[in-house]
Amino acid sequence: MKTQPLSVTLLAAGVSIHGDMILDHGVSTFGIIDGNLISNAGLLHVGQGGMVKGQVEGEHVRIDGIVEGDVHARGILEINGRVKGNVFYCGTIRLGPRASLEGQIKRKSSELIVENAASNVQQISRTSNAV
Amino acid sequence: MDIRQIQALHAQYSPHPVVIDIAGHASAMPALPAPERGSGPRFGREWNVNGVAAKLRKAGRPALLCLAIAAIAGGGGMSAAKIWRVMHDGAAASVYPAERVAAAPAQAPVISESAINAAPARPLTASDFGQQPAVTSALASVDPRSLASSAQKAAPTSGQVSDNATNSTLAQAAASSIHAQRAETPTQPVVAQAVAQAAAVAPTAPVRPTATAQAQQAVAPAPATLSERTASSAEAPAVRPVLRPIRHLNSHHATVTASEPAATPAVPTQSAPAKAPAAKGGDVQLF
Repeated sequence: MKTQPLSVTLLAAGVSIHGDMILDHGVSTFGIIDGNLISNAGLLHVGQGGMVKGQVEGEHVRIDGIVEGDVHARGILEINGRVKGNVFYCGTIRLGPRASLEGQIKRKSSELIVENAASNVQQISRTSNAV
Repeated sequence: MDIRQIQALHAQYSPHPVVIDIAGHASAMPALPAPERGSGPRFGREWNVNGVAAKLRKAGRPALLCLAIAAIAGGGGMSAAKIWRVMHDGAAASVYPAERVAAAPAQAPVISESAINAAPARPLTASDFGQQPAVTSALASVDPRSLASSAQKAAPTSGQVSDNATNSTLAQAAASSIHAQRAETPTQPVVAQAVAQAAAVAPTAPVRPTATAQAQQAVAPAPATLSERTASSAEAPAVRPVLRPIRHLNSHHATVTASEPAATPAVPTQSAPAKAPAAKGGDVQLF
């Protein structure tokens, strides 16, 4: 089995980005992003001291900083920071002791999320196998 | 949050097994220095230290050589000096005690001279300046002690000495040739000593030869009255009328006031006989 290298983008403290940021791998940001942050795979991590002014979408989302916008998570959602917006998740949610939510939490079914046909087929086949 | 913790966090959410190989990732980054090479400056420092040490070694070798040569030269010089001393001491061993005996008394006076001399300073004499005899002044030969002693001896009898001195001066003045010439003048009939006193005390005494004998008789008591005037100021107003005819006779005096009576010459004629005994008495008192 060939192990794929872990690809992670790190935005250290002191970074300020104006605009949307879209990645196909994980990201950890400790800076300020004025825009949408979208990660298709891996973990989207807003570290402590980090701030995102926009929508956050990711497979797995962990928020230790501040997010001023809606949060979408297809998998696991962990909040241990401050979120000003609505929260949408498909898998599980976990709120830490320092979590602060100013919005609504909505859970969606993972089957309703259709990203592409191939993945959808695989997901259906996987569910059928499980059953 | 450490990068290892971040990577471990991302590994938790990864569907595939993740092998954390930070060194490999860092080495894969061409732009950023590897975290392991974060200690690169340390290696650089070590290299610099090694370079400095090498330079010091290079510079230290000549220094060590120089020091060794200097030490050898110094040791050789000291040993040679010791050998030279031993050789010369052996040669001059017989002379050495005599030199010691001669040198020991020579050092003693130096020590005694260094002691403080509490005696009073003696006055400087010409012998002290024997090198420059031409420069010495007359006062250099004067001994202030002798002067002080003579002054102390003379102090109790200063009055007598002064009287004797005045008498001797007066006698010399009387015997001088100047008064001998004036003896030919008509004024000489007066007492010689009185005239001498007048010549010594009052320069106005010389009178014209055209003066009358009566006026000269009036002049005679004048010196005596002058001496009395210096002695007692109470008799001075009485003496002045006697002096007036003298000034009047002297044509050089223009200070005669208009208020003075025209018959003032007659006054001395009247007062002169009365004052003559007093003048004589004054002369007697002087001598």
